Amino acid sequence: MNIIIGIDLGTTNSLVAVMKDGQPVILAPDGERNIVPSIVSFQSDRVNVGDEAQSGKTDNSRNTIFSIKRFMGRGYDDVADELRHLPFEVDPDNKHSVFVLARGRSYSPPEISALILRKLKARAEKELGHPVLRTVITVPAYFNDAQRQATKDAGRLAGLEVLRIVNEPTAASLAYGLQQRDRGVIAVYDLGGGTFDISILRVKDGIFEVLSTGGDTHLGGDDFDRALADHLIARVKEDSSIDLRTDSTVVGAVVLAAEKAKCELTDKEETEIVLENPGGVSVSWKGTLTREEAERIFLPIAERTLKPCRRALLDADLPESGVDDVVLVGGSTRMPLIRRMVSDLFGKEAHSELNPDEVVALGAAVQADILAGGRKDMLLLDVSPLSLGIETMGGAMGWIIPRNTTIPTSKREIYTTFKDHQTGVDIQVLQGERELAKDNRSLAKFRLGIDPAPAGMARIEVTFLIDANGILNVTARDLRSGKAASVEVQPSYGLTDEQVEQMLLESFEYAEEDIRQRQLLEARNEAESILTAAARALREYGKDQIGEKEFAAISTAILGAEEAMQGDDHSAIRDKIDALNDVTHSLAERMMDDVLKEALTNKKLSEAMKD
Amino acid sequence: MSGCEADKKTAFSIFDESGEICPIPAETDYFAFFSMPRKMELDEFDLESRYFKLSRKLHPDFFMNAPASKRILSLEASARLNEAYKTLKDPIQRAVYLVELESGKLQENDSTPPADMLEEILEAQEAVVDFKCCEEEEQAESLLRNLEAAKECFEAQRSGQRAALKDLGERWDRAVEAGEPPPAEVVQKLRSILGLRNYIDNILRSVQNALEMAS
Repeated sequence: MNIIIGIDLGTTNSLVAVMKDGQPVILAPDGERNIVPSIVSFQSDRVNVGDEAQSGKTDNSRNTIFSIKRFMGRGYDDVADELRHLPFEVDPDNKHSVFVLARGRSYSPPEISALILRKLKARAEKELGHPVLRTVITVPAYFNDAQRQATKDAGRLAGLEVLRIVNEPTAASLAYGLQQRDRGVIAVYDLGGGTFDISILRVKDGIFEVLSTGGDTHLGGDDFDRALADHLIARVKEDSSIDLRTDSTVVGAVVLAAEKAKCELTDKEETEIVLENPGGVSVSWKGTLTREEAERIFLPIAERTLKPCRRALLDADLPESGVDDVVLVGGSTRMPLIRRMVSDLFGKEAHSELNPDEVVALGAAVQADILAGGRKDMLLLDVSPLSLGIETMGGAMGWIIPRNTTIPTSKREIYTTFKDHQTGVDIQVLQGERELAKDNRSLAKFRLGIDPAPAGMARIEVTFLIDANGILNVTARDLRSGKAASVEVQPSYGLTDEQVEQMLLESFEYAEEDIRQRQLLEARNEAESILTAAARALREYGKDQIGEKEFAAISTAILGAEEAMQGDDHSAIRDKIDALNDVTHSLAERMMDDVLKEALTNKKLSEAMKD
Repeated sequence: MSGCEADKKTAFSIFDESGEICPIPAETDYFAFFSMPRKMELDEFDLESRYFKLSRKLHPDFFMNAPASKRILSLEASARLNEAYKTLKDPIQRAVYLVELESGKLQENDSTPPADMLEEILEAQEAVVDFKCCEEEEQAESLLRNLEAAKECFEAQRSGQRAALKDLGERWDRAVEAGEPPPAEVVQKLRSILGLRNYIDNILRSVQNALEMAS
């Protein structure tokens, strides 16, 4: 099948879309919502994803993982601050990258994301009626290399080939571009559950050229919820001197209440908040919150989006008035405060004709269609969001590719050795805008293999290529021999190729585990029904009719089957079922005869009555 | 592939006779990419439409189902195309590129600051360093004012060079149109102005970074 699906893998919600008759459509089964909440809940015997996992947030909160996108491609130190807000735990043994814990097992963020992707894949396959193998996945424009790579890894773990990583705001502009504008400058303001992006594009003759992009990968709807939750906790403490901040489950329940209030204040001027034993703690608190009060709490967070907007305009070399259209994306742009702020900044009303929750997935489907060869008139020229450089002598950042460079792009640099017979050169690759290497994010360490030679003789040409996904590829060539030089890549965050391979293997084992579970369930069900039938037969016919020897044999077989049912070996259960079938064989025949005789008698009777 | 080889020396072509992408020789210059003359003055709309046209032929989006070798060629060619466009569309970057093609890389000694600016430059650099380590709020405010002043001064310097660059660019182009190499004096003056510009840009960047940190 040549079809390529488009997936919006969101912090809060995820969606899958596909192109149908020239229009992108969201895929969802009848009676189910278009969005799949990005929640994974590990139950004792199964894994729930999406709406089914929703209840886990309250009744199984330690094993229910949400907002995993915030951890994709991040180090433990990056997210330490956020962890206090979350009811689930991270693996204390893994300080390098973040791993979350659920039911005693540790999962990397791509593994959790893969479970959400599997759900979306299954959804698409069910709706389309055939297998789906290839996809486009969207990411925040401001995602760095490690975060993009982690998203690609997630796709691979879900059994999908990720043909392209597309930036969310640019995807949204594709969906809007289909609808209306065919030229002009568009600003896409995208405030999602956990990330903020601003992109400025110029559209001309079907070419969507991104001029600049900016953002904050740790700013979104979740932050408003938490700020409001902090406010509520303070009010509860003031009113009843009970501190709700002692337990993460309790905090989680307050955050949920805060989120609900935030949504209600989109349409209403004030709302009532009821905290009735949040997270099981015995507190009963009720209070009203006006939109004005809430906006005072939200304002400092909302204002954090302005700086990236101004910088993006500066990078695009445009004044605020140079933007023709403003497009709003992401659920948080429903907030009246945000709408006011955006229209004040750009001096015009923002577009929101398309559902801000769905527009990114729709755009992903458009990009998927372009890649499938369906649409040839549209082309997206995106940029890399962050500057790329290497650590130079003395710890400074040596710039190689500046931010907002159209991708794909490449840059060649030549390296040499400082010592005689040096056999390798280490290169630290960084991403970021700061002057000092240590203030930027380390992407990876590369080790170039070099044939021994006197100092300064070696000439290794290294090509840094950022592909259309915004992901860095490094190749090296020995200029003296013309041979390819070896490049050993050690990613600073995220998974190595070997780890992904291992996880893939484990996920197959995991799938096998699923099958075993199902076989066990089926065997138990079957045993259950045959045991019921056998017990009833013994009771009805009794020892006298069956005969003592046979009766004892059947009783032993029943006991054996019951015992096997306690275990979790489905083949042992099957064996006992077979044994029980064997000893009850003649009894079953006799019962069958009786039933037949009875039926015949009845028939005769009924025939007789007819006559 | 024979078509690619034949074109390498003379008019370089990205595509062979059958319309397939060719590997791009490393020495191919950015002007050849767009089949445009090596001139300082360039029609930016013409450049853009050539860029869009080539993007539609080379972008990896259109090679998803092609064999791996073609996909790599498309990726490399697109990367080169984007670099070429970025360099040529900006008049300053274009001038630097042309001057370097003609007379080699701009060196450190091309960028020695002129004596009359030395004082301002030193002051600005001092202000940046002070600002980074300064803790007193009052002091920070006066440093901030110094930085703002330095920024204005350098920006004025930079825009003052525009007229000179334009004049030199016209002389350069006239020589190219006449089929002659650009006069040595023009090349030398351009090197000096562009080198200084580089120098000023670096200072301006650190001033701007310091100001951004303050906001």
